[in-house]
Amino acid sequence: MSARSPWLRLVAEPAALAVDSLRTHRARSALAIAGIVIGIVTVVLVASVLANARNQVALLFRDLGTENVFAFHLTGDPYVTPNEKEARRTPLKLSFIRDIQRLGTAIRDVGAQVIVPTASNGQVLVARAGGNESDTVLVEGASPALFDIIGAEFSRGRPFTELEDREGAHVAVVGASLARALFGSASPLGQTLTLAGDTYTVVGELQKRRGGFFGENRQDNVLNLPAGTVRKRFGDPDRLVLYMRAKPGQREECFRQAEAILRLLRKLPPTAENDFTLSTADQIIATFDGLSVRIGLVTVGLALVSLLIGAIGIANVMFISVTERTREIGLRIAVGARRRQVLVQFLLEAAFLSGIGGVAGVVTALGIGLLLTLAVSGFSAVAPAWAIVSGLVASVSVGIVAGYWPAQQAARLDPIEALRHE
Amino acid sequence: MTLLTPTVYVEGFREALATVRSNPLRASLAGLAMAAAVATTAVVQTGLNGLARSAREASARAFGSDSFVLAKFSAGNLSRRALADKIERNPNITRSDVRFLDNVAGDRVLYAATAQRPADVIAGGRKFENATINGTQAALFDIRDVGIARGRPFSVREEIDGAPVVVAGSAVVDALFPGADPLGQPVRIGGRGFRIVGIQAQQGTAGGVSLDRYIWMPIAAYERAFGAAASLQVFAKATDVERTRLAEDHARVSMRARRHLRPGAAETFDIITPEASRSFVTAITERLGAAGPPISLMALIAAIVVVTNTTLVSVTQRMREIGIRRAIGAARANVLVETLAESCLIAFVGGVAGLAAAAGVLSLASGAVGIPLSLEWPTTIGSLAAAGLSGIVAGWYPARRAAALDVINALRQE
Repeated sequence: MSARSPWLRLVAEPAALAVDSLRTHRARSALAIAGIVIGIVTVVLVASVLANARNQVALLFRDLGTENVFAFHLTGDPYVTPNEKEARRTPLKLSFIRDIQRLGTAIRDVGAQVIVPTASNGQVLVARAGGNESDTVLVEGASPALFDIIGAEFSRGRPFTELEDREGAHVAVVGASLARALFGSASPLGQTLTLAGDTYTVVGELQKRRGGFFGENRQDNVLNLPAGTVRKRFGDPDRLVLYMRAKPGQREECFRQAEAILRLLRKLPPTAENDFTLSTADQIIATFDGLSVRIGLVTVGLALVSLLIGAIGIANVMFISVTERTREIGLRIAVGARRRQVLVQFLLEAAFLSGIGGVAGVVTALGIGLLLTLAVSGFSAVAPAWAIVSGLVASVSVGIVAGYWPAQQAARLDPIEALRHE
Repeated sequence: MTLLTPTVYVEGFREALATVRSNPLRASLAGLAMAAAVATTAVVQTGLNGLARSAREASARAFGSDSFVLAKFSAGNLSRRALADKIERNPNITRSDVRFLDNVAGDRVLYAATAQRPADVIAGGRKFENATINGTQAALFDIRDVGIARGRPFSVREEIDGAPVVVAGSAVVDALFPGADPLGQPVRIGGRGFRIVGIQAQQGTAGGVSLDRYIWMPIAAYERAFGAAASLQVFAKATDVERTRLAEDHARVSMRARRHLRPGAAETFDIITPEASRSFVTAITERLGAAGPPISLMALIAAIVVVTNTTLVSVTQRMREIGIRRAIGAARANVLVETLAESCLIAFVGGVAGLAAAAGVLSLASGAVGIPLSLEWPTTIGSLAAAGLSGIVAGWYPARRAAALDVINALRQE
């Protein structure tokens, strides 16, 4: 601690004084730290929950392929009832697959997903196998290439073949959750299930997909049939989503070509607006982020109130400390301490208090988050690195801001007046 | 002197006031912390209440607040399977069912058989697509307030005759007759001509669905234009609002009797009450708002810690004073009450300031969000109670410490 660096001298001595003062007022310091801990725990936990929910949703869409362009005749979720204005648009057709493949030079593969209404004419889709049944099953038609395009991995079996699709074979590929619901832990391969009066043989089982809303990914509950089979059995599709995989590095071009080809296929005059929606995983995530940012701002803002209160606690303790040590400060200034040193001393004391609170708060938040993640299934509250870092930075800066006013009061003390203070 | 002597409290409060006055900065910072916490709690609570209320009002607008609906089935919270069973098993509700209900009920329950479908409305070369066309009975206007701003509902006479008259929603007339008076104008619906006799005031939306796209016409006229609906919805209401529950039971029993359902047999129809649709709405708001209360509770805990700290410092600094007062006769109870009074005073005044701040924030926010938000009595009283209680919790430890002070040791303090 020699006087080698002037900066060190400016900091080292006040730091020692600060630690000293914390030691002499344990209860008071501990409570001030506790205030910051509560604030940081709230902020970091809220940020963790939000960040994880957001990442899960992002993963859900990214899992459908970041190089893919999706086309649907409506705006929005294919499982949601369309709004009145768009209800009149005609759906996309299975025959588009071949046309797009022929015309789109930047498009590597085209797949189609046909959504079968879960209830029609008072009949509801229920899948049965053995003694088990699922009435929450989602039935989708898939063209043979679809599984590859969306990167669905098979834990058992295989995708549909071109022949099965063309001939409308009664074969099925089941999602992971559906397989468990219908067949338990046994292998579903080669087993049969019935749906709307028909029997289907399971030829493949998909692995659990990643991401989801509140831990659920609806793809895991899907019963996939060949798109051709769906058309034979349920008629021309009302809701068909096209998945177009771009050739490497050509997603923009793929997007443009898809738009041009679809306009051509749907015979739109040059002035008409698109009567379909093209999107990419990134676009969907960006839209979703717009919403989650707003929710995030409100909740994090609420959480910040706790931190603000913690800061008020620090400021209060610092004021008390300055008042109590008026004589001491006066004496130090009288014997030659510079005002800057006094300022730094109190700032350091405040930063020290809130810094300890920050570290303790982050550790506590990590612990609670871990417990929550383990205890509540499908819920994740693991703090992301940025939340930890900003928690620590926030705590220290909150301390400095809260300590500035009291520290300045101390530094401005008139030594004569201060020494007269009893 | 014990805790049961009333003067202890008066004196304690006076002492506390003096202590707070002599340290204005410290006390006001602690009060500020409590104010921030109370304001957060109050704003969150009011915001959640406001959301729930606006959702409830929207469903009441769509539904009528003390009416109920008898229908073949309600989608509700059923699984897909149970819903399918119901759709398959339950018989359709027909005009003759409604006539039967009407006859049995006499003038105790009002019923209005209603059929609904979407159709286009055409007038003067303009077309309004996908309006919601309702064929109903004149009683409907006594059951639900459809909010007729101008003109009149159709009459019982017109209902019986199936007269070609309609009451139209504001979105429909605004689109078809911009700048002109729609009242008395002809429109074409389902290939037939109708005359507008009433216009609804703007109703807004319920659950994202516009309520201003409605057309109300006599059910006989509806059937002439579109054919009879497979199954009817029956809107119903007790003639005496106090007897809503009774009317529901009456409808249930009448319908069971008509369908010869044995005691214990499941109903082959559904009665949808406002409570049922309301609980659905509340479930959604609860899920959305679940994060609010815990977060504001954390703020309150942080504020309690700050007030505890301030009171503790105050006790520590006045150790000698407390020692002297104890030595010359003050009881432990005096010291205890005085310290608690100090923390409560800080917390309570902070709470009041917080409420004032909350009221300001809310009046700004209600303009921005478009939902009327103002402090309600339960929230106000709850927040003040929370602030007072926080004061007691915060003061507990310092007060115990002050009361347990050893007189000799305290006097020895420099």
